Amino acid sequence: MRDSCSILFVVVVIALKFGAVPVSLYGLSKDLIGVLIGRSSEISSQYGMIIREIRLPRIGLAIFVGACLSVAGTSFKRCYEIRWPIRMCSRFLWRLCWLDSGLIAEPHLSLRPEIAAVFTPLGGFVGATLTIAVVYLLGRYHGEVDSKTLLLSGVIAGSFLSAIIMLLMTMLRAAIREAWPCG
Amino acid sequence: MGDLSTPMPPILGWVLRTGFFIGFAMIYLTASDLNLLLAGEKEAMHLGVDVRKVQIVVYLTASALTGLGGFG
Repeated sequence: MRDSCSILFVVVVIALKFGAVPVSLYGLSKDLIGVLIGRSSEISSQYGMIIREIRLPRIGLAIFVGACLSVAGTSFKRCYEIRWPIRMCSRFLWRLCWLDSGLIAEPHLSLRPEIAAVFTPLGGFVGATLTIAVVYLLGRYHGEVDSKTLLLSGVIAGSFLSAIIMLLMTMLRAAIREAWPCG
Repeated sequence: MGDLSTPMPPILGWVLRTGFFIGFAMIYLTASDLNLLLAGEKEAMHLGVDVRKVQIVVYLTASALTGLGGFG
């Protein structure tokens, strides 16, 4: 706990300091402490706006996103201790559906961005749910879900889906370059 | 999407924050049951954990939290 807090602190300081505009660490900490103990009301105007409007909200956002993902990951790991292949293949399918629904919906149907923004995550979600259902169906053995068969079916589904992703990447190379970071 | 270079509308930040705290609370409430689940599903069931319910709660909450993370 203490270790992770200190790592977080160091990362926050680094994120505050480095950027397009260099900020002096000494001056910044002096100003921040001044604001915290109520001595002065403003961070020095030279970089106050950059710190307040850009870097701090961004750091806060990153902290919350990381916290969301880590809570979800830890609880999943606890709940489904040996079942990591399901997560892997659902991630693959999420990526796949996200990718091709994004590719199909946006340039070809020329949907408005608002509609595409709703449909791409939705397609990913539906696809991931479908894969989990398939993995569970494949993993059943004599009507019972056994963790070993589940593991194997997860591996099968994962490699199958990664093959489809590779195929898509080869076929749609130009369009992929823009849409790939989404996954 | 996928990076933090574009500014985020403040309302989305609020959604992310409140969603995180709600999800965190949900997971935290099931924490003791999850500790028992680590011993195995059958063992946890014999120790009085409603395994099915815990799994559904964790599954839904973790999915929602992951969605929130991607959303942010």
